[in-house]
Amino acid sequence: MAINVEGELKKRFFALGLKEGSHVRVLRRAKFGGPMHLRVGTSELILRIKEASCICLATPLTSA
Amino acid sequence: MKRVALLGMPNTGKSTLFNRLTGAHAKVGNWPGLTVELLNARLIVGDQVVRMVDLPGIYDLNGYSDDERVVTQFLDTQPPDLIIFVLNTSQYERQLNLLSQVMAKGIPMMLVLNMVDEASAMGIHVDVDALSRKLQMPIHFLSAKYGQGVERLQPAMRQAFVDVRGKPYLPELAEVEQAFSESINVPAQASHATTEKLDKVLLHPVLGLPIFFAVMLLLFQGVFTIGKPLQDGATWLLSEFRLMALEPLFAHLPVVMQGLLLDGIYNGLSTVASFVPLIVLFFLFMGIVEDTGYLSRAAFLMDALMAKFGLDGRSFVMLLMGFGCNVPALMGTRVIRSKGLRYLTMLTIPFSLCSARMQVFVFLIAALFTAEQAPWVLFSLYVMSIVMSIVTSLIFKRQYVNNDAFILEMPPYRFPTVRQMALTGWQEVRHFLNRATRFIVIGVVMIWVLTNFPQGVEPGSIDSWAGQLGNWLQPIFQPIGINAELTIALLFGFIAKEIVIGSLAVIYGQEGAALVQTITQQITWVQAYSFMLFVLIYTPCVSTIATIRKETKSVGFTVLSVAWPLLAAWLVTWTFYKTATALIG
Repeated sequence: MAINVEGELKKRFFALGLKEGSHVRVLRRAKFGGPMHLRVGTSELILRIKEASCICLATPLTSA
Repeated sequence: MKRVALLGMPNTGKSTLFNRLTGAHAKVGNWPGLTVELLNARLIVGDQVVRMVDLPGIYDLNGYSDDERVVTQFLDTQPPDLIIFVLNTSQYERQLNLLSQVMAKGIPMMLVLNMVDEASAMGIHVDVDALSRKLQMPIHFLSAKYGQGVERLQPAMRQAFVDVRGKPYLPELAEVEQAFSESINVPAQASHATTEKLDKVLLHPVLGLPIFFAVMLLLFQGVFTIGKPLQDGATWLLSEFRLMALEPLFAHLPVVMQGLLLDGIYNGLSTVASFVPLIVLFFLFMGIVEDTGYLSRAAFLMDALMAKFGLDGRSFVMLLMGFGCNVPALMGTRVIRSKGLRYLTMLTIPFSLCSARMQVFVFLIAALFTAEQAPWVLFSLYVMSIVMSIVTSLIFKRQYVNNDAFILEMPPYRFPTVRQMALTGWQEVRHFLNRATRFIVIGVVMIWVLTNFPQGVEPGSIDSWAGQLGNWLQPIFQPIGINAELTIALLFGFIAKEIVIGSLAVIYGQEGAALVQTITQQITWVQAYSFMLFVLIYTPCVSTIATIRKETKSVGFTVLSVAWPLLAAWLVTWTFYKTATALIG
């Protein structure tokens, strides 16, 4: 996984466990273009598609 | 006095540990040198008094949110004697960056690996001694929620105060990460199985939202089903107490004094106090929903909709919190980094139908509507509260633009212990007593004076000061169906909504069932509903205004947050009153 963000947002990704090389699993998406629900390691988080689009996956994502 | 600070990320159980250590004695107070309020308490450690402060939960010491600035400023300007860093053990990896940032400050530290209960259930094993040696600080593996291991913290703190320190150890992030990975063993498949199962249902693509609204409805229903009999009981008890104890006791006092003490202070206070069971129950239920982590799910479910109004999932959660009390909800917006979004959220929160306004509505609805109509009338006011928030954000969303990313942690579901629930209930009672002594007594005394003077007038009549004041304001309030008596209640309700029902008791010189009967005779249901609409929409209380002022440090914004609701209240009430009277004829 690679992350194309800089500065403040990168710090927040980092603080929630999202960093280059970590394993991400998409648990679900909210209706009507709402946020995504991800699992990173043992933590879970939600983020809007706009922010999620900064994350590039090296291997195909596994959807729940 | 030695000072100890608790520091950690949100959802690590930091505040639970704080409550565990300090009991129920904590208070939110201004910290010298800082402009924001921090929760702090005195604590006896061995033979000395220690001041312990609960710093806000943050993700990064170098971030730009207001909470992060507060913590950095605190550590830089007045370093405490000891930092207790609280870490949620099962998610330790992502908290190490913050840990190494804090270690770099060179302040004596102690590490708490919290949630031993969850970690053990997930099969996580920690070699505490090895980790402690590597990080060169005392480490305690405990459960703040169940109290397991907490007893060791006090002696450890005492030891930390007397320990002579060598050169502080300032490791790089990589060193901290290595120390942890060598001492903690996390099974490959560690996850919260129950949470996953629950989320499948509660975050269901179709059923998720209906379930959420059903849960909220059930919560309100539960509050009234259990709370109403308790409230009736309290009303009866308070009336009996006046009759059996107070009236004989004060019988020898001059009539004016009797009037002030019984018809003024006691009637006013007891009318407000009879609602305490209802309010405690309400906060208890809200507290449970909050502690379980369901509110983060609400943010997930509602974010797409809120985005259309220029808000986001977090704003929605704050609006929900506002149903309890607007003040903590306003302070909760500190986690929002975008100034635009934060201001917009702060503009909408005061429309949240808080528990103090709920008292006014429950009281008036019981007086003027049948038992079958009552729940629907109250429900309509909650709907109105949400509509006003939405309309406000639609009007102002161009002025206050959101440029913040929406990323939120989803904590696993946790159920609060009985101890935590009892603490919530007790804090509410204390909060009420605090408000009662500060605002309500002063408010009802002032109203009593206004309604009973100049001397010799019929109490509450048109000749009293209150009557004259009410009359003078009639050109504004008469077109919206609010009479002189109710105008006085509104005027004082500006201070705090609890005063509104307290003041009705004082204005009519009655309490309990007699008061309800008098009101039924004096006003129609249309007038009562107009009054309730106005109470719902205009400024909730001076505490809210003070909080907005303190949080934004902007006089202009504070003025807007008072003026807009006042204008909106008048317009909405006018529209309702004119339409309703025209339809009824």
